[in-house]
Order: sequence, then structure tokens, then C-alpha cells
Amino acid sequence: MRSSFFGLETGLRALLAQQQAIDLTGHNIANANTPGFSRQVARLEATTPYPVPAFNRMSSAGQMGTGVIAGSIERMRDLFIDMQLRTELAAQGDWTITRDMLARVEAVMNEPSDSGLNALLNRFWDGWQDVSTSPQNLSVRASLVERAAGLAEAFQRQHSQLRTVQSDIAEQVAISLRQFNSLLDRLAALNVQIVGVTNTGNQPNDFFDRRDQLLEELSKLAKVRVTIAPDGAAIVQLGSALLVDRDQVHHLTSAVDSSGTLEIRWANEPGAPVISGGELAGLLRLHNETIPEYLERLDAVARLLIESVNSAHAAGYDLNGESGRPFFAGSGAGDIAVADAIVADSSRIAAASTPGASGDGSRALAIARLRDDATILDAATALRPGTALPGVPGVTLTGVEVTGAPPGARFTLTRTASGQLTMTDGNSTSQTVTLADLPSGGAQIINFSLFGVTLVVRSDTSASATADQLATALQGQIATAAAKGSANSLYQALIVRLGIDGRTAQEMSANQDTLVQHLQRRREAVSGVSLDEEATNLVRLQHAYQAAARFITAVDQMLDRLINNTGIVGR
Amino acid sequence: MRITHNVLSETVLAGLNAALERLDRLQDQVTSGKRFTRPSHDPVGVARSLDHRTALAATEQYLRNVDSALAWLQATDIALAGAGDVFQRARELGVRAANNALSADDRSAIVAELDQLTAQLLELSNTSYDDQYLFAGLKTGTRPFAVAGGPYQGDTGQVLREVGPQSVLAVNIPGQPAFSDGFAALAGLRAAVLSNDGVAISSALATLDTAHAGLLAARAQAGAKMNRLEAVMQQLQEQRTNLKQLLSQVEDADMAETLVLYNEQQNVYRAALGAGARAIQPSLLDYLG
Repeated sequence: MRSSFFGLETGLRALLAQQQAIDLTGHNIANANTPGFSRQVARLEATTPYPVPAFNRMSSAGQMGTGVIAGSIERMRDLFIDMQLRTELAAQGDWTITRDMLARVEAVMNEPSDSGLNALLNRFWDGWQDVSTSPQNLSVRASLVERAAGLAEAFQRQHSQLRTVQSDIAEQVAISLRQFNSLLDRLAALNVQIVGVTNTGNQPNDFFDRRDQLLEELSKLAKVRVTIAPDGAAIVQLGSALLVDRDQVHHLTSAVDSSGTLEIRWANEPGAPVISGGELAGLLRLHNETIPEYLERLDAVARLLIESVNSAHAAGYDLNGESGRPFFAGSGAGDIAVADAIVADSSRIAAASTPGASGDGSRALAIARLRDDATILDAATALRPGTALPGVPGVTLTGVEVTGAPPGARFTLTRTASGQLTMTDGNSTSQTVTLADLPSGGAQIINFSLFGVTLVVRSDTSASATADQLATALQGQIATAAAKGSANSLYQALIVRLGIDGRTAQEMSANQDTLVQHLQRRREAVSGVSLDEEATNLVRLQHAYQAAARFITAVDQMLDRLINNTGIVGR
Repeated sequence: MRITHNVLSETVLAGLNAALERLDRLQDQVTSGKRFTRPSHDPVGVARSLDHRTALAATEQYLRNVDSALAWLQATDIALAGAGDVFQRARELGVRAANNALSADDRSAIVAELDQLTAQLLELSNTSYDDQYLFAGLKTGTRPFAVAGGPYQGDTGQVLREVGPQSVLAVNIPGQPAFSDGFAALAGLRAAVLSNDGVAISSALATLDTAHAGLLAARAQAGAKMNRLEAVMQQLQEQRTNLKQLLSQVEDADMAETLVLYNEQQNVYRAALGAGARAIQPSLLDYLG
């Protein structure tokens, strides 16, 4: 026999279940614009029917339904989309930061413009042309010195600005890592809460949403692998290394080592994880590979300029008939400058090929022609312009001019007899030159005419060398680089490289944006709150609630009839 | 696919953003007049632009060199023309001294004029341009002739001007044969007139003619160089125009096209705004009682 109050219970369950569903609709509407929120759905199920099969069950017909219950509250989420999105967010973070940083480098390079290095290089070469047409004119010489100083400053400025970008990147990595570590801490804390709720048999939907949100922020910084344990805890890995294991956290830190390489290491244990994607990977690549490559290329431009101009200049004669002076000081883009002696007195610019001819501008012309074509010395060259000669303090090799040698040529210098130097090429052809003593403050031009190679040595005012000392010190090798080039063309190659890198980053980050957007739309389709849908649900649930209330009223009236108006016959 | 209001508003936002980005790029092109302002806008274009700019700078420098060489040669031509006049006048004086029976006064007047002419020739031989002595070889800071008929102080070096890639031209005429012979001939004539020696006068006149012929040859040479330089200048000017055109083709935005694109893009943006405004507004809630 069913109880008389059976219907009241069913009605109550219906009220409770519809109300719970209405409350959930309210929660969904409230969070319609919350980032990372997934809509939640109450899974209504019919309660266990009555009676349950048993030997002494009641004898009325069939099983009677007993009403409704919200069996579970589910979060609408496609975990596969989440996984894809995390991967793409990492790539997006990588390319976006690369794009932004390269845009900064482009601003530093300032090309194409009338004030970039290319324009300054051209003005510099024009300056040498002007000196070649008016070699005796001191104001033309002074103008060349000004142009050269401007060019040297521009090199130094670009070099130091690139370095600034690099150190800003290291700073950015440190800041990102603080954010990264804080995300790890919050993930671990959430893990604890989630496991607590899961153990009671409930689903911590809003915690899940918050955790997914954190994982996405983490993925933008570095590509991580996420595994969800059966108890609901998330295990986060970087490659194969653990970042978060339930409540255990492994923090990261960064440092620039002595060779200038930026490294991301474990904060509290030895070793360094491999970071393969995300902003951090992009920043690391920029700091350790891209920017150093630009710096090296810029350095190569400056080095070629210093070595070729100095070598040609040292072999020429200034207005006082002196030779052997370098035009530029320094050894790269970071420290290139016009030599002090030249700045102090522009008559020391060696424009002539012969001593004492004030109208001779042929050396200046030879230097101006380096605009189109200069010989690049290979890294294997032991005798570089600017080398202090070993064993003879105060004597410098100021010039190594290679005019006649083809690319890839190699020459070896040996002291074959006292004061004699022999140059031998790859075909064992050789030429011997007898050196002279080098007086203090003097210079000597050693010309191997057979090979088109000229060496220039110069001594300080307080130093001198005998011919044999020079021959002994000058033993070594000269190698020309695989291809000829010019400062302009090397610089141009740097700009093209930068342009292509920047372009690639722009296109890749645009692609990633599209991909991420697409995935986010797909996720929104599954998880997003549709106000139309919620409004419909609200109407539906409200009606059900009202009907359930009406049902209870009906039962109530039935009971009223039974209790108050039944069995009163004859009263 | 289930579409929510957030998807709609995000689509509208992404569309507006993309339209604005394109608009920004076009605006950059319109206001700067350039197709690119950064290497990443067009790496290949930037490389070609740098190439053309370097070539243009070199061409303009060559043009300045040609100008300077022409000015040098013009100064040379004027000096040589002056020297020619000197020889011409000396010849007239020599002929007069040889043919007529002149008084001692007349002869001393001729000698005085010859002295004037010698001084004039000395001045001409020391002509300078831009603080450089034209006839001193490479020793442009030294007067080639300190005194008339004195030793030549210059050298035989060539003053070179680069007027094109690998194209070098010597613009100077050393004073050694051109003027030394002239001084010698004038001195010979002066001595012959003084001694009233007819034979010596005619032989001095012959020397004068040889010197004059040498001078004319030098002048012809300078003239030929000037002609060549004029031709080179024309070539360089054409080259400069070509390079400027090439540079403009590579760098400059096609204004008509860019402006049309700009307007199109502006319309796209407006349409996106309008559609967005309509798409975001309504929901079922607007219609539920």
C-alpha cells in the first residue's frame, strides 16, 4: 500500500529539483561574462520507483515513480579542445613576444631612412671622395672626420641599444617567471581544494574552471603537459619534469651566466628544464640566439669597416708625409671611434699614395672605393690590423691591405733570414722582402707586390724595433674570407635578415591568433552561456515549479477532503 | 554550432580589430607616401631600396666629382688661353723687332713689354683653383714656378678624379713642358732683341712657336677632357634620374591605388561597425514579458 502522503513527497522533490535548476540558471546568467566559466547543467533524473522488487511487495499495479532529483551538476566542457588550446596558446605566446621584440629591434635599426646606418655609411664614403678631390683642403678633411665620427657613434648607439633590448628581455623573463611561479602555487592550492571536494563525491565545477583558466595562463608562458589524476588533482609537467604534482611545486628562476647566456633553472634543485614553447621559450631564443646574431652581424660590419679602412689608410701618407696611422680606433660596433690622432689634427688623414704630394688624393679614392668592394679577412687570420706585435712592445701592425688576392686565398709569412720576411701562397709561390729598422714613432710599409698584400707597422714614440725583430714578430698567416663584400652589403644583409625574421613572426603570430580564436569559438560553443537558452530554461523551469506547487495544492486538497470531510456521516 | 552572445560580440570585435589594423597600415602608407617604413613590411623591397640608395649616393658623388673636375679644367683652359695670348703678343713683338730697323728706344720698349709678358706668364703658370696650384702636378701646395724661368717645383703626378665606377680621369696638365718652354723662349727672344741679332730673333721665334704648339696641344687635351666630362655628366644625370625612378617604384606607395584601398577599407570598417551594433543588441530577454 502506498502512503497517503506519497504525493506530497513527490511534489516536494519536484519543487526542490526545479528550484535547484533555477538557481543554477541564475548562476549561469551571473557568470555569462566571466572568463573561463563553463555553463553548468543540472542533470535531473527520476528517483527510484516504488516499490522495489521484493518477496512481500505490495500488490497494487506496477512500479510507481517517486519524483525527480538533481542527480549531478555537470560542467559543459570539451577537454580535447582545452588540450589543443593550451598547445596553440603556447605557440601564440612565443610568436607574439617575438613579433613585439623584433618590432623594437626594427625601431633601433631605423631603416629604411635618411638617418640610418646605410645613409651614414654612404655619407662617410662620399666624405672620402671629397677628400680625394680636395686633399689639401682642411675643411673638407674636417668634414670627413665629422661624418666618420657620426658613423662611429651610430654603430655604438645601435650596438648599445641592441644590448639594452637584450637586457630588457632578461628582465622580462624574470618578471614572467615570477608570474609563472605564482601560477604554480595557485594551481597547487586549487589541487588541494579540488581533491577535498572530489573525495566527498561532488564535482567542484567552479574550481575546475578556475584551474583551467590558470593552466591557460601558464601555457601562454611555457608549453606544459597536463594530466588529471583520478582524484581530480592536476599534474603539470614541463617536458618530462614535474612542475606541479598535487600540492608539490617546483619553482623556476633565471640567471645570465658568464658567457652572457640567459638560462632558466630550477630554483631549489640543480639542473635546468627544457622550455619548448610559450613566451619564455620565445624570450630565451631572442636573448640567446636572435639578438646575439644581429649583434654579431653588426659587429662584422664594423669590423670590416675598421680593418679595411685602417689597412688602406695605414699604407697612405698624410699631409705631413707620415704613414702607418689607423683611421678608426676600436675593434667592433661597440667601441668603434675615429682615432684620437685624426680627430686632433685632420691633416693626419692619409689621402696620398706618395709622401709630400699635397694634391694626391689617390689613397682617399682607394678608401672611397671600399664602398663597393673590400676584402674580408677570415677568422683564421693571425695577423689582423690592430694587433700589437709579440716581442716588440709599442709596435703595432696597423694595416693588412689585401688588394690583389682572390677570395679564399691564404698566405703564410716566415722569417727566412735575419731581417727577411717571405710570403708563400697555396701554390708555394713566394716573395721575399728585406725589412728595414723601425725608428721610434715611425712607420714601415711592407709590400708583397706579387700577391697584392701590404703590411704596415707603426711604432710609438717611445718604441723602436730592428728589422729582424720585425721579421720574427710578423710570422703568421693571412686568410681572406670565402667571399668578397662591403660594409654596405653586409649591413644590408643584416637588415634583410631582420625584415624576414620580423615578417615571419608577424605572420606566424597572426596565424596563431586565428587558430586560438577558432578554438576559443569552438569552446564557447560548448561551454559558453547563451542568454537565450538560459531565458528559455528559466521559463521552462518556472513553469515546472509552478506546476509542482499546483500538484502539492491538489494533494493538499485531497488530504483536506480525506481528513476534514470524510467519515462525518450523521454528524 | 551553438552560438552564444559572447561568440557574436567577439566575432564583431575581432572583425573590427582586423579592419582597423588594415586601415592603420594603409593610413601609414598614405601619410608617409611609402610602401614600407620597416624592414618587415617588405624585406625584399627594403633590400632593393637600400641598394638603390647606395647607388644613388655614389652617382650623386660622381656628379660632384665631375663638377669639380670641370671647374678645374675650365680654370686650366682659361690659364692656357691667357698663356696663348702671351705667346701671340710676344710673337708680334718678335716679328716687329726682326723686320724693321728700330731705334734703341723702340727696342727697349719691346724688351719692357716682353718683361711684362714674362711676368704675366709667371702669374698664369701659378694659377690656383680651390687653393690648389693647377700646374704643379701632385704638389698642389707648392708654387710650380717661384721665378720666371726658374726650376719647376712641381712633379709629374696626375691629379685624379673618379667620375664613375672604376672610371678615373687625370684632370691636370703638369707645368713642366707647357710653361718651362715658354719661359725659355721668352728669355731667348728678349736676349736676341736686346742684342738686335736678326738670326737669333728668328731662331727665338721658332722656339716660341714650338712652345706655343705644345701649349695648344695641352689646351686641346684639356678641351677633349671637358667634352668627355660633359658626356659623362649627361650619363650620370640620366643614371640619377633612372635610379630615382627605380627607388620611387620600390619605395613609394601608389597614391591612387592606396587611397582607393583606404576608402574601401574605411567602408568595410563602417559596415562592420553597423553590423556589430545590430548584432550585439537583442536577446530573447528583450521579448519575454
